Amino acid sequence: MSNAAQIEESAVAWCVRRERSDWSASDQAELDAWLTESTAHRVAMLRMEYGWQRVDRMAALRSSSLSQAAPSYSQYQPDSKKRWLAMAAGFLLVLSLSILGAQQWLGHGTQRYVTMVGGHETVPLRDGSHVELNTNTHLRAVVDEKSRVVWLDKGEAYFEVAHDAKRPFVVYAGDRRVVVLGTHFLVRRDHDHIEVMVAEGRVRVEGVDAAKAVKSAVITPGNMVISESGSMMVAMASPEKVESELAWRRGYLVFDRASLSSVAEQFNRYNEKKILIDDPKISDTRISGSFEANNVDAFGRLLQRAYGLSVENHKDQLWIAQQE
Amino acid sequence: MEDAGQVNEWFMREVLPLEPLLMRFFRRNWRNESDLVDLRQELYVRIYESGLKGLPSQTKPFVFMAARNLLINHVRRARIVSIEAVADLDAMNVAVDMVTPEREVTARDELRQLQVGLNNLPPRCREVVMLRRIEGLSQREVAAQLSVGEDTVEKHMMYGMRALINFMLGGSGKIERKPKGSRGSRKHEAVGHE
Repeated sequence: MSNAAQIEESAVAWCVRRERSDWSASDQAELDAWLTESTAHRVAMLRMEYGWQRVDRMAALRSSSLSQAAPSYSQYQPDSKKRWLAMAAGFLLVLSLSILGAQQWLGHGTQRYVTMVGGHETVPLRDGSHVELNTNTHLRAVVDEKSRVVWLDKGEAYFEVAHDAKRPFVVYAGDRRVVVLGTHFLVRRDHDHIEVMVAEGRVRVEGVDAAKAVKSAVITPGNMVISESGSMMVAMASPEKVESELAWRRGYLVFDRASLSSVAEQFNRYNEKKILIDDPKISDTRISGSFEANNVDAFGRLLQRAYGLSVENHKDQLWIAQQE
Repeated sequence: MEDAGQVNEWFMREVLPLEPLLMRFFRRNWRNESDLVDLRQELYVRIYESGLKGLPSQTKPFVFMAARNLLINHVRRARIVSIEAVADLDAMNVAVDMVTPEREVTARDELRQLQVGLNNLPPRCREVVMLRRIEGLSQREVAAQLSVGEDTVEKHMMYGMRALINFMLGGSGKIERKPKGSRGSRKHEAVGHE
């Protein structure tokens, strides 16, 4: 075997080892040492990681075509049985959900959480999980001995889920369902536009309507799901991207060369005082930096000083236009 | 001096996606297929180390210029320079200019590629990879479901993922293995079937 092939073999062995549940700090130190030994190790590892991510990203889009087209699958019985069981379980879940739905009308079991525009709140659930609600978010949760179910009716929430293999943690957002496999993750919903990002661990995103048999996606840190009116896409999300998407948890909005119009949109999610852009020519101005989400006036002053734009204060609005 | 995290990110985002084109370029300009893995590694090392000193403004021309220089060096180092090799060197100028922008690979194409890659794996290995990566089971769960040890699952994962990655990145999808006696002569057994 050539030297390069040997290094490749070690790199893939690291990738597999790293996924062990007992991966420790000393293992990590060993890997780091191996990586610093030579650039050849480093590039082989990057290449494997890149390939790994690509396989995962594609595997995540396991459309029906993927499993159907695999031949010699007859020996795959245990799994199809499992799948059938899962379907049955899904049916039971739907049943129990409708019961829960009924209960909700009776006022039992369902907890409601609402934040106003500009609000930001962390709530503990009964199982030890935490949900952090961003601005203008409506959410319902039912946590009992058998299941943990959350409906995100609108807005954005970050979940830190207590591990419990017996009770899956399921988040419903529109026509998508996020099944948690033990993790920290973010769900954002704006009508039928849904985004899911993972900070730690892995989650599965699938369609709620079993009859439609839409694809499901398993995502891990580094990936995100964007779903809109029935279609779903898995895209890359670098750790920096996830970090900046989660900046609201610290009360900040972070932008990297975002257009003024999308920045305004973000600010408007957090404030009753809305930014209005009066001139299409400036809506593409690029904005970078991190800003206090609730301080729209400070942002207005910055636009005036640093970008030379005209900013007019009206009652509930901030009008942005080009300087005369 | 660039920050290593940034170079890693650049390498994954801009260099590695060029691998199919790069391998095509190598195959066209280098006779000996068995050198390719080593050539690729040598090139990646050079690119990465030069990236640490400063990222190029345009990655693609930079990568192919480096690939060309690497081949020229290898030809020079070779003791016997064949007429053919020299002729190829001239052709390489053209080859670099003719590298066309990679056609946008759609998710569907990539999915099909994954499917073919999976089908190339021996059945048991494929089963392990699918349970782990597609069904999202843990290593322990896969081991329990297939009634094998976790180390066997790991071994299959190593063979399977390596083959799959090499296939998806534009290689052959075959795994190099030390020949083991007379066994493993059947086509699939060469692919890490234990």
